[in-house]
Amino acid sequence: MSLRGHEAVAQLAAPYALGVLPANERQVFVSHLTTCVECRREVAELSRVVEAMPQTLDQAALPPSLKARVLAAALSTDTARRHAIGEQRVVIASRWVAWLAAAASLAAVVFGAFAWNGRTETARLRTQLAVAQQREAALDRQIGALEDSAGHTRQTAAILRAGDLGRVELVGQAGAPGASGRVLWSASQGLVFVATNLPPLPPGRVYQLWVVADKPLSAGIVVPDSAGRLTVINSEPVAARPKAFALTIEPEGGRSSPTGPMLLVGSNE
Amino acid sequence: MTIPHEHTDQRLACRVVERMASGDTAALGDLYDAHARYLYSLALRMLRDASDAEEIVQEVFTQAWRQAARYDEARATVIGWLLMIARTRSLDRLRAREARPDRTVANPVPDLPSEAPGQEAEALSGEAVQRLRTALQQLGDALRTPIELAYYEGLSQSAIAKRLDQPLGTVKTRMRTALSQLRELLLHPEGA
Repeated sequence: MSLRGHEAVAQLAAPYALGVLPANERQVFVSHLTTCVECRREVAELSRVVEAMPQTLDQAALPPSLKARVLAAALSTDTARRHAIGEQRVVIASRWVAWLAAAASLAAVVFGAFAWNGRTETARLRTQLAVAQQREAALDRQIGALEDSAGHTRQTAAILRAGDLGRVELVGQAGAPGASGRVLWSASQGLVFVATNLPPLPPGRVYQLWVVADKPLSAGIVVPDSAGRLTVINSEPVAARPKAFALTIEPEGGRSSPTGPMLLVGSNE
Repeated sequence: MTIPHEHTDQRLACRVVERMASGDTAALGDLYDAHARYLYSLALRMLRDASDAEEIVQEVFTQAWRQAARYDEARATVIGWLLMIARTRSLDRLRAREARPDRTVANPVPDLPSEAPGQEAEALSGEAVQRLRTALQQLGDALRTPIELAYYEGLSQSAIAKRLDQPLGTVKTRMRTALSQLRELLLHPEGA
């Protein structure tokens, strides 16, 4: 490329590093980068500046409850890794279990604080421990499958035996006219939710179940099993007087209040 | 490339991500403690809404947990990786909120060719970040505004020119000048 041609393309480095180069120019610049060491160095250095920019912002105070919510959401949507890693197997089935895991993580964080503050030897040992845990994953997985199954059975039995057991039929809405669902709920024991004939989820989306009292409260993120069935067993106490239950589609990780299309709804009044 | 950095922070952060990849749930808490305030502050700056910013933080850590095994320390620092996710998701939300046609699609900086010299990711030290903060303040509005509109609002150079009612060539020049000046102050302070 001529010097003049190079200069023209090199001007694209700044908007490229800032991530705002339109697609056509971006294609030209990326192609140029494969052959130009000078521009690669330029982009690498400008990208360091861009990466550092948000670190110069005044730091906002984190909401105190955010950490628990973040950990619960991240761990409760972990559907793929639970099959690969034994330690995750207990986390998935219900939000309640996920909250337990989050609480365990918080405790571990407290005890691990010194490691983060510079004790690299501790960090190294923890890494070794993680590797050892991974090696045990296969055995854990087998035991975990049995425990999960038994645990769900116990949870379900406790809910279905509850003296205050209520039942609500959920009806498919416009986006899922053939779908149906049922919630068996107890104010003290939690709820069991099942549904069938729901449309497939778009990529990056999950189903989320809501208990509607004064406002909708999440009753858990729902992932279909391999046969496409939905089952939620949630041991969290249900609002004493739920007005309705509903199922929506939400972005991965779920939402604190419904934002997506409602597929099922059933009134308790 | 002589860059002020703290190897220790980045090394520790890498070990945390390795622990996440191996399924250590406590590591996710460690990552949150170290970086959540940066992600929340960025999302808050971009979206101007605390509830939306909290959801962005939730999405970033969910994605980081799922994709920990795919993190490549040769391509980005841990904080850079997380900030990139937070910015991309915040821009998506801004566009969904405003549906403005003059906003370009976000272009997360793609992976650089791995053979490029001096590309190893290194975390910037607190002192370097402070130097950048001062430098940004000293740039003046004319140079600082275009890069802030690009980074925090995802505006293309054309959209910035329109927003600021300036010629496109002026915006291009100012954006390049601003980033170049910041680079010299940040990465080559001895020559600045």
